[in-house]
Amino acid sequence: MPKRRIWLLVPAALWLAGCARIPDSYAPPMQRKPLTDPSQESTGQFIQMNAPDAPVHIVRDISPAVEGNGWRWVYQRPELKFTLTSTEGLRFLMDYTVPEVTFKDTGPIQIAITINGHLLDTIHVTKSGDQRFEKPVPAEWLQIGTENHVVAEVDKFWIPPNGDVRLGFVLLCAGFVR
Amino acid sequence: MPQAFYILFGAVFTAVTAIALGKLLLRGLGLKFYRAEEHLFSFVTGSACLSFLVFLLSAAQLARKGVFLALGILVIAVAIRRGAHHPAGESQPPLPRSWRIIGAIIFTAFTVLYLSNAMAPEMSPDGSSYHLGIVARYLREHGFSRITTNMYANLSQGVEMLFLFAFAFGRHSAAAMVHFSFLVALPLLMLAYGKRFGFPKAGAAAAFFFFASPVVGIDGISAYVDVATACNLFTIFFLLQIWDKERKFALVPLIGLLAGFSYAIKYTAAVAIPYAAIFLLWKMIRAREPWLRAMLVFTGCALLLVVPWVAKNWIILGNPFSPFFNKYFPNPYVLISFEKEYTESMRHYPGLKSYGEIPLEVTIRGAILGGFLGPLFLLAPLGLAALRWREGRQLLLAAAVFGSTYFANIGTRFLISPLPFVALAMAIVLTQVKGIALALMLVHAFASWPPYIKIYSKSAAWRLEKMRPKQALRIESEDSFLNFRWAPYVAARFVEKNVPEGGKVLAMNQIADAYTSREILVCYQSALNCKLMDILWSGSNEGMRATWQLTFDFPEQKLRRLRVVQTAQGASDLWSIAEFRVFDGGKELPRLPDWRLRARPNPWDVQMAFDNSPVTRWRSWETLSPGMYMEVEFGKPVAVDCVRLDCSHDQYQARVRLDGQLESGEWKTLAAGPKATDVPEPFGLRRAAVAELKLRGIHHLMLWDSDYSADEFRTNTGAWGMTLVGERAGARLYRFN
Repeated sequence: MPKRRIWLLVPAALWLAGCARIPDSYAPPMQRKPLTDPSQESTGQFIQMNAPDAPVHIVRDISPAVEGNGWRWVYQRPELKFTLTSTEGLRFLMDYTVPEVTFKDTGPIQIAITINGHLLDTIHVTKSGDQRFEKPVPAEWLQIGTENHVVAEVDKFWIPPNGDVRLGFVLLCAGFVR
Repeated sequence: MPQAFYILFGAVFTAVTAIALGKLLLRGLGLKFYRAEEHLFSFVTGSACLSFLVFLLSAAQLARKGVFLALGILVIAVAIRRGAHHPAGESQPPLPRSWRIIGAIIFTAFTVLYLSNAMAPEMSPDGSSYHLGIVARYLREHGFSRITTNMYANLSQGVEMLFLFAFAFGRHSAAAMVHFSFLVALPLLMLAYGKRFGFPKAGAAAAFFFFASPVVGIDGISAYVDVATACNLFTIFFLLQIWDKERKFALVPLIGLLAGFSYAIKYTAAVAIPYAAIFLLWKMIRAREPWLRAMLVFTGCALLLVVPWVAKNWIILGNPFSPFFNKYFPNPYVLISFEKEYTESMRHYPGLKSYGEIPLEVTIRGAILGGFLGPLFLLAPLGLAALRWREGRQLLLAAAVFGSTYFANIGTRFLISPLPFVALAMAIVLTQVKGIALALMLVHAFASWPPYIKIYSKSAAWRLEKMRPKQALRIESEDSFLNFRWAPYVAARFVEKNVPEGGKVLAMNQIADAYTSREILVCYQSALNCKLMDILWSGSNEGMRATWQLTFDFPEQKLRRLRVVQTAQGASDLWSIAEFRVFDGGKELPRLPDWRLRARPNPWDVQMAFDNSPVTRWRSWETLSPGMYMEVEFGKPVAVDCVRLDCSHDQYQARVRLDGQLESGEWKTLAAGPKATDVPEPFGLRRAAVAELKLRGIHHLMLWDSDYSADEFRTNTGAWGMTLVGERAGARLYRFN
């Protein structure tokens, strides 16, 4: 082979390398089962803050740590999510505490409860201690087959003297009851 | 203390084996140099040879401590038997007394500083993750294995082969000490160059300018490869200059070997091959000397050290130059989109507003570009005055050539390769005025000494902090030291303790892989890892969920094939399809085994659009271009009246049409565009994503608290079907239930 033509082999070899091992086609793979079972997501319609699956229900602004006998601090705009099997005749229930130590600094606070974007009520908390909120929820606000989001927005915060978090109140449990 | 002994043994044994190999090679070629040059050239050329031998042993699955010990003893024994340990050359004249005294003091101080840090536990970001992580894996597996999940294993690893040799005896710090040996050798080479070419004081000054540079110091004591690269490049330059004067043919194979070794050390250093080739060719043609034989010898020797790395990648990955050039060598292991983003990110470091900031950043500040050279190098433009001298012109040419790849990665350490040449050019100019160079050496020494650095540099700059004799001698144990200083180490040890042997951990960012035997799949380090993270994010990221349905309705007809063609051009989006469903009369056709599925580009993942999983999707992994397609061939004509694509919204600019192949074989467009609808997000996406990862053999996820979406996994752990194993130093390890 003439010397000049030998050099043509270099780009030819590179071209061949570039064409290597590209598959032509594949058969359909194993078919996954359809995801239709809401229980797979494991959110229920009511949750205690010390339950093992509480984190599943927490969307934001609730402390990941369980304190004392099973409560959690909530921050600025705590949000929970729930899965419902029906929407008729449900009431939203929330057990919570405004501790003396925070109330002393903040004074009366307001908690706005919103369900799927609808304002259910604004709670005016005028004393410290354990409290319960309970109110019927219009069925048309709720959904089956997807998550229902509940937000409890606080208007005042308490910042611990040695901390930098804004604490709202103490949450024990929340959810929908019949 | 025994650990310190093993570290020293591993490093010294590696260096002595390299020197013995180099001496045998120089003797075999009949080359004579000055005494110091002979030792140094032996070390560098012997390192290239030892690296090559370790490569062969690794390819033969013989990477074992016993084999390395036998090889080293054999090489040293043969070298002694042949008298190679007796230097053949003469000594060069010494420097003036004042230079020797000042030089001895400041060089000794920095050598002790560097030695104590090199021997201390290895905690450099890249050294403790991929440089030594891959080395440790090679040793565990006794050689090369088919690593397709870490692009760093695709890079040439010439110096890592030396690390592997040392690591077998002294683990991580022994490997770092091997790099430190190049840090010692290079200034000595610069001094030897200065002495040979009539600039002894400039050689000494430049050697110190380089040696004391803060980024050179911390890089050279870490298990990195930049200083070794610079040492190899300078040796090539030095040998070329000697060849130019003496025209000894025996130098050509040596230069060829080292040029090939440049590629073996680092892709960007491959520029040494054309540099040396053109230098040799130009000089021979100008002198009207025969050049063909010399060039064939040069090329052959260079290829000897280049081809193994090219072949390794070609065999394992189908791309000889992986992780680059994936467009020309398509493969399922490195994504084209990733390569583009990666090369872009290397050119634009976050925090750097413009390239105009680079001079101050690389000389004084050091926080954004990872270290700094020292304020002395603000005087680098003075080096241009060295153009007056022939040597100066050669040095500046080499600096330009070896610095030409800098803008491929603008990190400060990528200036280490041209730095010796710049330092020599500066020193040649500065030594023209009596006392200036010595004074600047002292100023540079103070400015580069750790406690004084804080005065002018940014605190986040990558640099040495202090001497570490206790840690070097392991008076404080490695575990104790690293536990309190190196979060990636803590995370790695936590993984080692909590993930079963053989387990794989998906991660968003790297940890200190070198300290765990479990495989860490960092999301950006390979196509597979990237796709695993894409599946995971599909479970939580709204834009990535398959809630956007594109439906093509058309009159029922019998078709052989259906093809969805993407028609938009150039936007930054990637095209993707989560599910490709075919209907007739309102019923979805079952996907039969004789269907054939095709996609271009990325043919390898087409099954992800036909697996009935909403969390897996085929993606183009290239930005939109007309003609991308996905196709299903039915095997026989099938009645069809509708096609539905389940897609995610993160591809706003994609446009599709549907083509079909009729019974006659003719193609026609069935629908120019789809009807788009949004559907509610299905339940259980998170768990489905985790199930997909488990199907692929992944059972753990590690996230730093600062990682993207880390909060999502922290707050919804149960919803994902994961359990938090624990948190250490800001990293959380999750186990899939």
